[in-house]
Amino acid sequence: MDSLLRIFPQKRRAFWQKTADNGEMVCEIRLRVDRPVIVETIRGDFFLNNSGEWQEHPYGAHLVTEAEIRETIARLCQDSVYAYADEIRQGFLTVEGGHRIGLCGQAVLENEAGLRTLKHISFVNIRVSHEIRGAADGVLPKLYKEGKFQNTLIISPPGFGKTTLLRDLIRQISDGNPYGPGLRVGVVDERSELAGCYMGRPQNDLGMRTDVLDACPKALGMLLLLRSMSPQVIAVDELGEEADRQALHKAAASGCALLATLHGADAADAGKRLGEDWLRQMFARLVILKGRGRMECRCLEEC
Amino acid sequence: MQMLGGVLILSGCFGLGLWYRQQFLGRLHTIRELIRILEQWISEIRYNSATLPECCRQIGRQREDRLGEICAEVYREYTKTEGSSFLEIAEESFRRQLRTLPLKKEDIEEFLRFAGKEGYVDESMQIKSIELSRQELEHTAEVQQREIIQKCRLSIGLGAMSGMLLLLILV
Repeated sequence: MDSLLRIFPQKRRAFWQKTADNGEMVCEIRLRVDRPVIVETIRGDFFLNNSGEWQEHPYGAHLVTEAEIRETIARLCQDSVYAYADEIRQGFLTVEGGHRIGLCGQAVLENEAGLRTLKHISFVNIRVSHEIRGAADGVLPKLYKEGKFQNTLIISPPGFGKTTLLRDLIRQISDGNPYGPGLRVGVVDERSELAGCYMGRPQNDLGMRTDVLDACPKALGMLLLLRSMSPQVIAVDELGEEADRQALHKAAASGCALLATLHGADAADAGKRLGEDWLRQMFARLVILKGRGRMECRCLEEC
Repeated sequence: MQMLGGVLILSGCFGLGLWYRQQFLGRLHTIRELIRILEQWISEIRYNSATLPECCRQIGRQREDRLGEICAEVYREYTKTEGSSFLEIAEESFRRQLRTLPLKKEDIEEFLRFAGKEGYVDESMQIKSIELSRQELEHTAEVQQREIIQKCRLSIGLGAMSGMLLLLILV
């Protein structure tokens, strides 16, 4: 997995080669100053020894140094940390390939209320993005009714692959599939995770009819897309705020189909967060993830 | 034959004086262009929040002169040696390429002052570090501007006079 290797500075790449070779298995990589590197995989946690080989026990594991973390962050920010100030303030960066880098350190407050920045960054969590073609095959036929794509909400706890599923759904809806023709999809990629845009170019395949608005707040982005790109489907990741709901409402009112994800355990959880009535009014299908690759599709109206 | 030799010596020395004049003018012109590049750089950071490599690529695209080519080449080298520090590559590459232009070593050092440091966390500090390089180059350009007329006259005069002197000695 080249994009995973590219996260690290050139001089450290030999160390990370083995991990990058097994990139498909890797879910997260944890770097903590003076602590061993932990690679979280679908087979459990592994530690890296000094030559980058995986081992199951922490004895003799490589301890992360402050310089390594500093160099990695400088590399991720292309020696331009100032250009990523907003992202650092939010606690994460998204890099080429769509991998999300979570950061933790010492908070610098502004007026004792807001966060100005993070300094002494000592903890890094690399969430590896996986582009799995066909991840949506199982659920796709249930999202169409008489050849028309239905408004869909994907509900899942963190780490169950909701972004991976959303990405593949966008690609298949955009390119067209056996259940419906290709549609113009507008994606508001607030955290640059879906398309993994690097210098404006999507690194992940989101389909041939997809327009991506990168790094833009969802509510603002949905309205902008509606005005400028006349999408047939609007896709957003991780609904949360009231403003997102209002923007989704406007999009639906203008005739767009909706495709969104939400953090939650099940439909009841989603109902509590978004409101039962609103959920029924806006979405026709709920896809609930119950583990990696395990999902259930529920119809909120007649299937 | 003697006449021809004399004319050749005179014109050679005069040409040398002209060449020196061109070097003085070229240095001043190049310093001014470097100042413009730093201004473009600041503008890219201020309005686009562009990273340093993005600034370099953008300036390379916008300018069609030799300095634009140099910026584009620096960006190319950075993308080729993917994974290395941009500031290290930029410093080495600019230093190597700017040596081919009519600049003095200290002009290049002033231009590259911002590249020698780690990137700043704060945008305004990053801009200030580039502005510092720009101010130093502006000061050098002002000094050069004040002295340029005398220097140009001196180089042409010295060229012509040294030709005549050589001619007198030889004849």
